Amino acid sequence: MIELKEIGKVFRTSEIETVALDNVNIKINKGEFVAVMGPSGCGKSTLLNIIGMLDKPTSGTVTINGTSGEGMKDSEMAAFRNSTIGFIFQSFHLIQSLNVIDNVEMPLLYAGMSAKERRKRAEEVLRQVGMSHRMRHMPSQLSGGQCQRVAIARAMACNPEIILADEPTGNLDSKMSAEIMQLLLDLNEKEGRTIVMVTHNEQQARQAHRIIRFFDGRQVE
Amino acid sequence: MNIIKQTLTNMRQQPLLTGLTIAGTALSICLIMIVMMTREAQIIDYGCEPYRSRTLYATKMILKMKNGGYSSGSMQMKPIRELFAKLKSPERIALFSPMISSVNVNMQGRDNVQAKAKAVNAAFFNVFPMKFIEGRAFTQEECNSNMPIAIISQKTCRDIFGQDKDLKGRTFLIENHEYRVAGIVEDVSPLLTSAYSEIWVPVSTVPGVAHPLGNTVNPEYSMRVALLAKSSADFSKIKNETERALAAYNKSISPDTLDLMEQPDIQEMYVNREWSNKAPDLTEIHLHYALIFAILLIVPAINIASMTQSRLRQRKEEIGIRRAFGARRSTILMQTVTESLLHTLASGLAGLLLCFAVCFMLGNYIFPYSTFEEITDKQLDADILFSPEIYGWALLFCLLLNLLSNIVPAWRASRSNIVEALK
Repeated sequence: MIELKEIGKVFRTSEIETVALDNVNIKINKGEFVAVMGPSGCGKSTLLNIIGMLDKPTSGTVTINGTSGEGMKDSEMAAFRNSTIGFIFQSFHLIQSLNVIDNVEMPLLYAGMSAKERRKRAEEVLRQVGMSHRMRHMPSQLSGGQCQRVAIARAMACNPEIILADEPTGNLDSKMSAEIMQLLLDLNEKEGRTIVMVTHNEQQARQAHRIIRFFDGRQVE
Repeated sequence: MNIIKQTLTNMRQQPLLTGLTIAGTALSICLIMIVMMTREAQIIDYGCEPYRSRTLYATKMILKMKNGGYSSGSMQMKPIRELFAKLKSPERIALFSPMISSVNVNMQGRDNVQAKAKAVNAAFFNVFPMKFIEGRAFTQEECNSNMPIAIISQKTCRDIFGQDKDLKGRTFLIENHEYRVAGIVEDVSPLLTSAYSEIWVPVSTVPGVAHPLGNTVNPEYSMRVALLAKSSADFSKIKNETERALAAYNKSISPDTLDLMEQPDIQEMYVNREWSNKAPDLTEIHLHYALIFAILLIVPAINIASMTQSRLRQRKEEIGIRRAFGARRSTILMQTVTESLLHTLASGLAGLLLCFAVCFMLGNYIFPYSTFEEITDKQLDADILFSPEIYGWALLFCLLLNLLSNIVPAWRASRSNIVEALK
């Protein structure tokens, strides 16, 4: 389902060159829950960005469901992200000027759905994450855990096969973290979604099917 | 719909930035409209000057003498009688004295009242049709018979008689000479400089310096001609006929020659003809306007561009999120453009209201030829206060400038790195 071949990523400035990923080869199967671990700055998030086609690798190829990101136009990449990948971020990244339901509807807007369909789907996923009672609230009126639930609902809105979560519980307390983790496990087990989760939490990582460990841009396990 | 809703939310969330952006553009639209209004007030067809677009005027002349000397000044009755009055192509030929200072008028036994008076011919009321409350305009026969009759504005009627109805046939004095009321008309706005006066008397009753109006105007030496064409398409025909008539007239006054300096003028030339020895340069006038508009538009455009840049910098994260979830670059660009449209529409409305407020409060200082008269709201005709055409152009210009000032920052924002935006 996800295949990374000889992926390299180098960040260049006028003075220095930083190797973020070096010859990374990973295969992730459909329906797999993979945890990515490693110390800060080892390239975990860069890997996630490349899988999510938010960033391009300096070398190597990324293939998702048989589609290679190489040579894809910006508009093609945007459409691919919209239909295939859902993102969950550590700092939620909800749009502050939109209320909960509008935040969840946002990816559906780019999918070209009608207003009625969008509203129906957004209500459905918000119910699924237990946030249907906060649909008209603004993000600033929610707790961290609630924000992350909304972010998960947004990630699920377009019914993507793959969910990429970058430290989804990094900003939450232990109780909230456990609830969010359970939501992700449910998405994987009950709905068969492929999940790639970057985490620093060993206990959470152990709940995944597989752990990929990184050090200095290289896959060490 | 989502974009509009979000734009409105963004506007609410950034009241200062939104306020400044809207105020800047609104001020621009307001100033453009005021500048255009002052120009339009002199040029467009409205009120009792509804035929400006098909009227030609002659107001100045130069008489060149054989010895090289010349005399320039207002149009005199002699060339009017011997040249303009004989033209066949105009539909009507109106004569009227230029704006004159006040004369003393009163009803027998009552105190003097100051009023503006104008000497006109009968055709004047065809070229500048007024709303008669009572009576009628005088005929050419009445004019020719030197009948001392007058048309009076409602306000002047009230000043003289204490009433503005049932006055037809009543007599009053202009500088102690008796005149009879032939008709009462609605007050004319002083912005309508050709038609404006408070009392209109037949030009034939004002023979010269000996006459009551002669203290202030002598029609023999200061008159204006308005040639009403069937349509503006007839202008060249009238001008050609005038040229032929001028050649014949010059033959009759040889060795002197009369120079009309390209007259008769279209309305825009007429209102800009300040000097009696020089025709106005319309290109220069238009360039002058273009320069004013450019300044009025470019300054807020720079302001808006920097504000948009700052707003988009603040919304870098949002743009990153949207792109992560499938927004194309073109969609981001479109969103910014929609915001720009909404800002311009809000500014347009604010600018229009501001413009009305300024016109009503500062009308005296804004409109030309009005320094001697108080501009009241009644006299600010709706036709000049709101011209959809001017408003549309001002809005379109601001929209274009807003778009231009938004497109570069929006284009940059749409091309920003998603990962960087989400950091």
